[in-house]
Amino acid sequence: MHPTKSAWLRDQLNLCEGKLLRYAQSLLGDLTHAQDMVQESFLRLAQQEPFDPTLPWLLRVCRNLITDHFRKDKHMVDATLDQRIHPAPSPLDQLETQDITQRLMRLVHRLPATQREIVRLKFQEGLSYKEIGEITGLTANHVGVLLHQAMTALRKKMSTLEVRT
Amino acid sequence: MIDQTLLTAYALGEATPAQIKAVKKAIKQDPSLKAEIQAIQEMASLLGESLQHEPLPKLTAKQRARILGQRPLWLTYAGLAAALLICIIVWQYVGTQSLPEPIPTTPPAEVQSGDVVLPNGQVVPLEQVVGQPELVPLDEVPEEILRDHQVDNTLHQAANKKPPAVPKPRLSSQPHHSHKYEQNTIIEYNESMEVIQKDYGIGITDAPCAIAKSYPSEPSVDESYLNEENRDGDVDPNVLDRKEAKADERRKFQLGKLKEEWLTQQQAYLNLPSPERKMAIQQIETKINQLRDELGWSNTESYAVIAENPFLDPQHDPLSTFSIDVDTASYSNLRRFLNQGQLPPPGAIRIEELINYFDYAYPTPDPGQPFSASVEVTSAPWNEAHRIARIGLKGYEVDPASRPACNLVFLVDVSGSMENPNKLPLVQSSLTKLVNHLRGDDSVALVVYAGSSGTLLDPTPVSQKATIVQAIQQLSAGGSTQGSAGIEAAYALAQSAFKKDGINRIILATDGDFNVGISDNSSLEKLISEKAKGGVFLTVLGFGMGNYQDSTLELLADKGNGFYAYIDSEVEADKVMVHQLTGTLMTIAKDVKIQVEFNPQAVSSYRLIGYENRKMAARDFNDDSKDAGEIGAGHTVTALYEIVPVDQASKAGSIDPLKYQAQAEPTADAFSNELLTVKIRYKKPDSDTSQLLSFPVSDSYQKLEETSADTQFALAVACFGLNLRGSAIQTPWPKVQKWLKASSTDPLRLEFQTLVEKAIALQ
Repeated sequence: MHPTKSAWLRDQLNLCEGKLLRYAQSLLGDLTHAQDMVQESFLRLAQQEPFDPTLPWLLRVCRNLITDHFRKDKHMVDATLDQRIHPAPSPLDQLETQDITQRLMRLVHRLPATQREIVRLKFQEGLSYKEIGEITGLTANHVGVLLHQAMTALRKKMSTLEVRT
Repeated sequence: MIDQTLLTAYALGEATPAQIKAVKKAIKQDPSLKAEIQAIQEMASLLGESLQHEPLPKLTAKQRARILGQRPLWLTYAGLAAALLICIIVWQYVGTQSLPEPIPTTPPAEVQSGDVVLPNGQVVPLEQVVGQPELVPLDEVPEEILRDHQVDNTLHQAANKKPPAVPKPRLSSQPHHSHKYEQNTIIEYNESMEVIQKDYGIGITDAPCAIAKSYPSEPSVDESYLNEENRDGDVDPNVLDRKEAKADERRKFQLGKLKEEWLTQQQAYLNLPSPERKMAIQQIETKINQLRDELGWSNTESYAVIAENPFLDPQHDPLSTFSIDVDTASYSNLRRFLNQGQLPPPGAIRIEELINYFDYAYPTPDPGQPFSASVEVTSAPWNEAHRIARIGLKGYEVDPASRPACNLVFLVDVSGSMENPNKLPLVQSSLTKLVNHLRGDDSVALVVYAGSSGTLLDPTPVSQKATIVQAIQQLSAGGSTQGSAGIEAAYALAQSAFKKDGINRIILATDGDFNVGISDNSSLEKLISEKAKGGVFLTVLGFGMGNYQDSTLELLADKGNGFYAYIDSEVEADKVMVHQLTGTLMTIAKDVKIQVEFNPQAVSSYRLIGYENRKMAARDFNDDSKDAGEIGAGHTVTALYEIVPVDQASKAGSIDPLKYQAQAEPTADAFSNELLTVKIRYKKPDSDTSQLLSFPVSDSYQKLEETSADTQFALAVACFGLNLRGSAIQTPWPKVQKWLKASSTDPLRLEFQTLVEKAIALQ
């Protein structure tokens, strides 16, 4: 491999590995599986000529891989991304915690799949509506509407929770 | 009425100029919209903060290696040499007119990776060009290769790395938005640094010895060169410094090499049979430690700083109060260091834990009493004029068949850092041993925690032993640690299977690297101490090395009314899980505090040896709400005081007489023969009120030779610990060994003798 290219690849791996895994894991609910998908995404990146930034590209490739995987896997035909729900709440969820962050994260987990994904891309990775649209195959306007719905729901639920406690 | 979606877009800086205009107009008409926008922005930043706190998982070392197309180390070496040769060749061919063409990413099919293509098209295996690179001592590796390798592989990159290119805020008229971007940039940069640290550390953080965390923060040698020369204007050709810097550079390079070696061969090591595996790993560790020491880098194990107890004057401080401590982790950890050929860091040596690691033949308690207490007074090994009061407690023995039934929840750390022969496999064998010695009416559950935590086994009666053992054997490591979620899940399970009048206990097995996810240790401690009040206790088993977090684990066990052991070997696992199982599981008295009142007529000054982090305020002794240590079935606890008798008083550093108070008059008891009075408070495991035990002690003027072998041994252990941690109290080693010789044939004590020899050799 060309030295500058290998350096580039290493940089991108270091920079995006964790973020991409976190995203894939949130879609799949399973780390091992996510690791496979992320490895494959980076192997595809290795075939590209260096460019920057790679994160949106990687996110899109990774998402497509995951979608393809579900399409190919006959046993999981129905389990397309949109219908997948987050894994069952852990005993942790049943415990009362005062921590606002944890409460909010739990609410995020309960959002519809697409909204959840958009919230992550927006606030975890700091992407724009347009970039999110390119990754998820939605129009930027649609992303805006979904994000607005998600945020309205979160605000409403957070405030009712606050009143109750 | 304005479209709410537009408001969100505006608040997040996603609105187009036309939309911004519209929103501004709407705000003018309805100022309450401002608050709405602010609320959206608050939610946005809350979401940002929460989501960015989520742990960043890692790929496995193998996956990373595959992506980066890494080959075994010598091939990488060879490949670089080849690349260099090719570069030179191409450069010669192309001449000066243009830059070299990019080299094709994949070599022609018939050329083996790592082979060299000569200008005439001949393919030569690389070994012929550079010899067996593995065998080339580093000093002889051509400078160019070294440099080249470094450009590709070392942390120079990390240290010199510029922040990644930042996308420009698209709408600079949106202050909130652009601000957010700036924030993101910083976060991203830091994260990237972290990831790089992880990258270069992973092999070793996961592997026996952590190098990672301090690595990138080291200034690169090149940089320090530059600085030196810039500062000194006219260059001082300090040859020695340069040589030293070069040597350091080589060391860093070697370290990087060792880590890569570990990365690529990790799997091979794991497949080795256990003694060889241990040898191989120890070799790498020793090499790494040596290099690190030479570089003056500290490792990332975390130990609290211990400030030794000072001498106190009983006229001003008549009371000395502390909580007992039956932990033994410090001893096995110290043993690990010495067996590795290293002196332990002073902060890792807790004298009381060294002493309490061994069993002493203290009198068995009277029926109805949870423990016996005895005191022996003798001369100090390091100063014959000083006296030592050795306080010994012994908990009553419980027959394993008649102990109450257990409800145990194993909480196992399966984060990436546990993937290591002396961690997870040892955890598995330790827990299996424990299960094999439980009774059919006990129950066991298994919870793991890493990036996400989960219950692997619901509470299962030990009569179904096979199911439990199978679940333990299936544990595998991966993901980053989030200790709090796992602990909470484990407590919920323990609660669900709560055995009234039984033993309810969480057994946490971890290397203690709680560095991801827990921003708040104190809320975790709070949870643990609350659950302990509810009857679920916590035992902590520490494993592994390198990023071992000693102080966190000790604190957790302490809060959880539990016991803290460090398991460094199968032998130690046998000790804790088999021979002392009932003691490990069954608490017979909790919140055990000791308060000693010294008689100023007999004692000029005194000091407590060890228990530095267990000291309590005198008023806490009678305060039942104050947590203290627990004693398990059959456990022995020993505490030592050094006493300067009145007739020996040198009174160095004593306090001036008080100006506004008369000195307290001695009572009649002060003129008795009594040296001190020991008071012990304890609670029955299910009780909230304490009971008091109190007895006076006088000095029988025994010499050390005349005391029991146990006291001699305990004192020798104390001397050993004090010598090693560089205490003010130093005892010549031959003396320490003399008191050891007297002791028995107990294998643990014999092992201790060899440890002393190792320590002497290392000092």
